[in-house]
Parts: sequence; C-alpha cells; structure tokens
Amino acid sequence: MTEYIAAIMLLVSALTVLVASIGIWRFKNLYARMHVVTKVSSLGLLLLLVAVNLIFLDWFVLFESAVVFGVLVFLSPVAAHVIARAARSIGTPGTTGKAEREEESKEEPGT
Amino acid sequence: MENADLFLKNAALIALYIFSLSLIFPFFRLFKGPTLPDRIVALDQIGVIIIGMMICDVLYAREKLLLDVVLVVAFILAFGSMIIARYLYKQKKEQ
Amino acid sequence: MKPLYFIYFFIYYAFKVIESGYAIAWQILRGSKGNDGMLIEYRPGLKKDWHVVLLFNLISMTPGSMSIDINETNDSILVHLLNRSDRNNFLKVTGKIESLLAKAL
Repeated sequence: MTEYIAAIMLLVSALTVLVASIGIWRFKNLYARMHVVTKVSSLGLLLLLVAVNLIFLDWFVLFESAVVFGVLVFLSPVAAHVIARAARSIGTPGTTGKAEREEESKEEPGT
Repeated sequence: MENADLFLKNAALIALYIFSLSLIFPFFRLFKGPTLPDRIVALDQIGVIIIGMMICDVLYAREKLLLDVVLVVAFILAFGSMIIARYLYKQKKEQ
Repeated sequence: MKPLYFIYFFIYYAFKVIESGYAIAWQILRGSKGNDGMLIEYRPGLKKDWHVVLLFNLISMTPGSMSIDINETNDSILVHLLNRSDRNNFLKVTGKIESLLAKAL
C-alpha cells in the first residue's frame, strides 16, 4: 500500500518541478524567478524525500534526508540573498527599485 | 506485492521522463538570459532537477546508499551558487 | 525554551511552506508574467540579533515574500513581494511568526 502512495507522491513532485521550470522560462523579472527557485523547487524536493522515507522506513535514511532537506531549505535563502545583493550592486535592470517604508510592528510577544 | 513493486518502478521511470522534459526550460533561460544573475538562477534550477533525478534513481534501484551522492550534490549546489555570486560582488568592488 | 511552542511553530512553518509553494505554482499555471512586484522595508521588533537573522531566513519561505537585504545594525529587512495585493497578508503572517519566535526561543 505504501508503494502506491509513494508513487503518487513521486509523480506529483515531478509535476511540481516541471511547473517551476516553466516559471523560470516565463517570468520576466529576476526577483520573481528567485521566488520560484526558492519555494516551488524546495516543495518538490520535500515531497520526494517524504516518498523515500515511506519506502525505506529506516533511521539512516531519515537522518540523511533530513540533512539534505536542511541544506536545501536553510541554505537556499542565503544563496538567494547573496545573488540578490550582487544583482542589486551591479545594477541589473528590474532590480533597483526604491523601497517603501513600513511602520514598526508593535506586536508584543505576550499577545 | 510484486504488482506494487512494478507500479513503483514504472512511476519512477515516468517521473524521470518528466524531470528530463523539464530540463529544457532552464537551459533555454541559461542560453538566453540577458545578465549574469539570470544565468546563476537558471543553473540553480538545473541543479535541483538533477537532485530530483538522482532521488528517482534511488527509488528505482531501491539502494539506499545512493543517497550519499544526493547529499554531496546538494552541498555543491548550495555553495557553488553562493561562490559565483560572491565573485560577482567582488568584481564590482574592484572596478 | 518551551518545547510545545516549538513544535507548534514547526508545524505552522511546514504548513506555510506547502501553501506558498502551491500558491506560486498556481500563479505560474494561470499565465502570470511576474511583473507586479514591489519592495518594502520591514522593521522587526525582536531584541536579539540571531532572532533577526533567523526571521530573515524564515521570511523567504512564507507565501509570496522573499527577503533580499539586511542593514548593518540588524533592524530593518528589505523584502520583495511577488504581488502587490499580498501586502496585508504578509504583515499579518510575519507578525504571527515573530510572536511565535519570541515565545518559542
């Protein structure tokens, strides 16, 4: 039974990555493309790693896929930040807009 | 049980076909992209697709030791794009 | 320091990752060109420095927002929004993540 669930997850994640690639091709702005790379592709790989864990059911596999997912989720925003900063500093068209100021959030931790 | 196993293998093959179909669009962006940061982003997406193909291979062969390759490629992908962007930033500073 | 809040925070965050991924995938399938972005400057109300850096990483995974830059004194974050209409939703979600972060750690 778990094989069927894992196979369906595999197909769904492959279609998600296909949609992400189409987004890379279609979007015109650099920042919009970085949105696609950091979010949609990470979601597709998350589904793939869950499918691997369903098939093997092993502590070693769980640990290793957790490390892979941690690298992808916590290092891809850092990579996106470095790329965005470099693009802003060399003045890529479409990335050098003025920022609007946002008011300071007054939310207390206790509420 | 053999039926489920065959279903999983066929699903892995179909997912592999879909991944290699989706490899076309980032390559198009890699050739066309007007500036260098666009090309870095397209390269990042190609790396993600290659990781997905490797995980499909793990599920097709049912060999859990192949996950080590996935780990190494994920590290190289994350640090590689950072290093290229850092180089770009430094090159701007020197001018 | 409270593990219950930490678990709740983790579940909330995983749910937000899935929701944001499918929201952007659906926007791609509808044929958007991605021209509708805007930059805003957000000022978090957190005290410690590494909380701000952690929030900086977490903003990149919430729906429709991506953090771009942070200034030297760690008190304002430059955020890019994919759609202009997402602004109020972004402020609400980020305020919730911020209060959860202050409670959990």
